Amino acid sequence: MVKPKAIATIPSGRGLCSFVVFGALLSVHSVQADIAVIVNASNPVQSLTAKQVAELYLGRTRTFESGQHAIVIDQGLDDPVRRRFFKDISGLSIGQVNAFWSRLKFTGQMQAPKSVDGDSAVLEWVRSTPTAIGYVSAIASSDPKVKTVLVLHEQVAAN
Amino acid sequence: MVSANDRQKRSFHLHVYYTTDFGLTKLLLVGDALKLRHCAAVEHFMVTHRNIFTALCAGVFLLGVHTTPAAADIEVSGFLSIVGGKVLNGSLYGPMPDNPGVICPCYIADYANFGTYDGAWSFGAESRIGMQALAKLSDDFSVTAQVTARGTDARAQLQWAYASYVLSPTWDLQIGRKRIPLYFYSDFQDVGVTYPWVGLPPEVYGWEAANYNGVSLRNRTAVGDVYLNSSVFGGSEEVRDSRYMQSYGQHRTDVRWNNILGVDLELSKGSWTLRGVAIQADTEFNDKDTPANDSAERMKAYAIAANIDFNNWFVLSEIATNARTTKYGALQGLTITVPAVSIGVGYRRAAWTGFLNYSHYQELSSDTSILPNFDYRHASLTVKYDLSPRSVIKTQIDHYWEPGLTYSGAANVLRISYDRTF
Repeated sequence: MVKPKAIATIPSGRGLCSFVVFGALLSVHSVQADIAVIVNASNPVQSLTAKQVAELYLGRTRTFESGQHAIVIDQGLDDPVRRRFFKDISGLSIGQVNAFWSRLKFTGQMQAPKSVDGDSAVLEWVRSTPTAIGYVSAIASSDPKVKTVLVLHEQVAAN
Repeated sequence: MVSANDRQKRSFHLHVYYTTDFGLTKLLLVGDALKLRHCAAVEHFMVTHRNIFTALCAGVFLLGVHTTPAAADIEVSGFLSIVGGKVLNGSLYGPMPDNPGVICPCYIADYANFGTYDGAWSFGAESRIGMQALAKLSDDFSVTAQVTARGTDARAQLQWAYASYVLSPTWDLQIGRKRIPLYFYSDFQDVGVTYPWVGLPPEVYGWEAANYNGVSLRNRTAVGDVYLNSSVFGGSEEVRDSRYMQSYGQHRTDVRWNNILGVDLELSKGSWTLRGVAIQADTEFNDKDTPANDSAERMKAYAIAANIDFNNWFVLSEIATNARTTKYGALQGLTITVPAVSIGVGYRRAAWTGFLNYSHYQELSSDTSILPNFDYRHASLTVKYDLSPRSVIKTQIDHYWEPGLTYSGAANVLRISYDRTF
C-alpha cells in the first residue's frame, strides 16, 4: 500500500476552488472522466502543477525538478483522453499541439513524447520506467507501482 | 523497455536511397508503410499525378534496421504538402521579362525553389514530401537525417544529417547539416501544418540558401514565466545550379554562403512569442554560362518576429532587413538593403481558421543611378480547416502587386493545399 501523499489538483470547473486530497482517498473522489497524471512510485516527485506538466508535454523542459531526465509518455494521437489532457493543461487543441510539436521535431530541437495506445500501455511504461511520466483515466490509475501527481477533473461545463 | 544489454547488442544499418528514379510503385509502398493509403484522396492524387510524385519521391529514404528490439529507438516521421494553384488574372501577359521560360500571368510563390504558377492549374510549384529518421544511440546522443523532395526539382535534397548531443538538460550541441534558422519559420518552412498560410509570404521567406553545414549550440531555459530559447550557429553552404538564381534568368549558377555566423533568441511568455535573429555571411555567385555575372557580397540580416496567440484571435508578424554589399561583380561597391515586413491576423473557431495577411518587400539601392529601387506588396486571405489531429486543408487567395517597376506583374492567385504529418 502506498502511503498517503498530498496531491495537487486544479480547479474542477466553475465555482470550485483547488483543493488538496490524500492519495488514499483518490478513488473515492474521482470519477471516470478525471485524468490522473502518474509517475513511477520510486520518483521523488510528490505533486506537479498543470503548468509543470505542460512544460514536460510541450517540450519546454526535459527534466523533473529533481534534475532527473523525464521519459514522457503520451496517449495515442486520436485518443479522447489526450484531447482533454492537452486542453486542460495548455488550452491547446490537438491540431495546435501537432503544429507545436511538428516545429520542435522537424527542427531537431526536441524528440516528441513516446506515444503508446491506451491506459494499460501507459501504466505499463510508468510502472517499469523509474523516470517516466504519463497520464491515464483516473479510474485506471490505482496501481501500487505508480503514484498520481496531479488530477485533472472533468470540466463541469465543457467549452 | 530496452535493457542496457540490448543496447550493447544493437547495430544500426542506415540505408539512404538517394536516387532520381524512385518510381511510383516504391512510392506507394512507402505510402502504405506510412498509412498514407488509408487516405483514399491522397492515393487517388498520387496515381493521377504520377510525374509529380515520381519526382517528389525521388529522394525519400528508407530506413532498414537489422537488429533485435531496436525499433523502439528509431523514430521515422515525416510531412507532406500537396499544393495546387493557378493565377486567375494579372497585369502582365506573355513571357516574364527576366525569365522567358515563365509565361505570365504568373506568380512566384517560392523564390528559394523557384516555384511559379501561371494561368493553368499546377501542383508542382510548392508540393513536397519530407521524411526524417532519428536514431537514438543513447540518452544523450542521437543522429538525425531528413530528406525533402519537391515538385520543382527531381533531385532530392538532404536537408539534415546531423549528430545531436545533449550536453546538459538545457544545452544541446548539433554538428552536421541543418536548415538555417534565418527567420521565424525558416527552419520548418516545409512543414505546412505549422502555419496558417498555404505558403509563407515570399516577401520575407525566400533566399538562395536554406541549409548549411556546420555547428549549432542551443540553450533552452526558463526564467520565471518566460521561456528562453537561444542558439548560436556557424558554417557554410553551397548550392549547385541554384533554383533561386533561375528567378533572375541564370540557369546554371552555383551559390555559396561562406562564414555563416548567426545568433537567435526566442522568448515566450503566456500568449506572447518574440524572436530576434542576427546573421552574417559572405556570399558568392558563379554563373557557369556567363562568367560576367559572377559576384560576391557581404550579407548581414536582422529580423524580429512577434506573435500573439489568444484563444481565438492570433497575430503573426515579422520585420526583417537583409543588406548586401557587393565586393566584386557588376554592382561592385553597391549596397542593396532589403527591408521586408509581414503581418497577419487570424481567428480560429473549432476546426476552422481564417487568416488575413499583408506583406511588403523593398529593394533599396545605395545608388539608384546604377540600380533602381524596387518593391512589391502582397495581401492574402486564407481559410484553414483541421481535418484530423495531424492534417489540414487550406485555401488561399493572394493579391500581388508592384507599385513601381515591373518584374512579374500584378497577379491574383488561387491556391489549395493538403498538409499532414506522419
